[in-house]
Amino acid sequence: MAQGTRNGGNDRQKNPRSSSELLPDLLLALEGDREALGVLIGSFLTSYRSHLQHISDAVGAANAGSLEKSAHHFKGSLGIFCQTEALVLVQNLIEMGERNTLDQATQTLERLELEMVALAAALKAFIDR
Amino acid sequence: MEARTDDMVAILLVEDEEVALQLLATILIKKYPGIALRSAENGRAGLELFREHAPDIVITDINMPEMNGTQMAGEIRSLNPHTRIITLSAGSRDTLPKTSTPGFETDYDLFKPINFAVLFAALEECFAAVLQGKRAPA
Repeated sequence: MAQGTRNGGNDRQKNPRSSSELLPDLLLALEGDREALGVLIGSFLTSYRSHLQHISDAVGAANAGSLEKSAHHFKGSLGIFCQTEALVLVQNLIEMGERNTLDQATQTLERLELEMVALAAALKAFIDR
Repeated sequence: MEARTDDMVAILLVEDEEVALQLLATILIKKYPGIALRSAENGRAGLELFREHAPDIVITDINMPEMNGTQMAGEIRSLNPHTRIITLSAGSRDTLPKTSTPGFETDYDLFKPINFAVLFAALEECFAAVLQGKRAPA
């Protein structure tokens, strides 16, 4: 892609932020509408299992292309709520898919599933607060 | 969807990830209640909406099924070179797919996770340019 001369861009976050740091910013972007944020978190909590299932299916089938695609797709929504370990693991899965080196994919997916349990709990706690 | 008036800025939002689309749409409507917002889930659907409604600004994801964001943006540029285009990518600059329209430039290439302050600043520059164009004598 040609990079526009007027392109401001945004550099990647130097310090990845956890959900507890990201949620207040999201709330601010939503003009303090906690109910709207709750709806969005609810959508994420409903959809993330399906993303994990697609990734798991790709790993189970040793399908590198599908792993790259499904992990990349998940990264889009995960990055909204978390930029720490879970996002790093998803990025690792994307790169495994890109390089077609899936020998660590199962272990990485298992770690991701554990991270997602913790993230889901943190997001639920935020909604319930 | 509100009826579009001359001073209303129309935005097309194209994003294949449902939660990301929902989040962006909600935030944009809250922050800029006067905009006319339409959304699509892939580049092909986005291009159809663009042809139908000629929005002033397009905010698009890059990696999408059917037609990716760069292909769509290239087509949009050839239809209307004045359309403001903001891309959102979860990848790095090195992995951005090449456009099928050589030489076209986007206005802003932002990266996910989205920094909303940066997105708002980019949008507000686009709004100013669009409104200036609308108000300029023919």
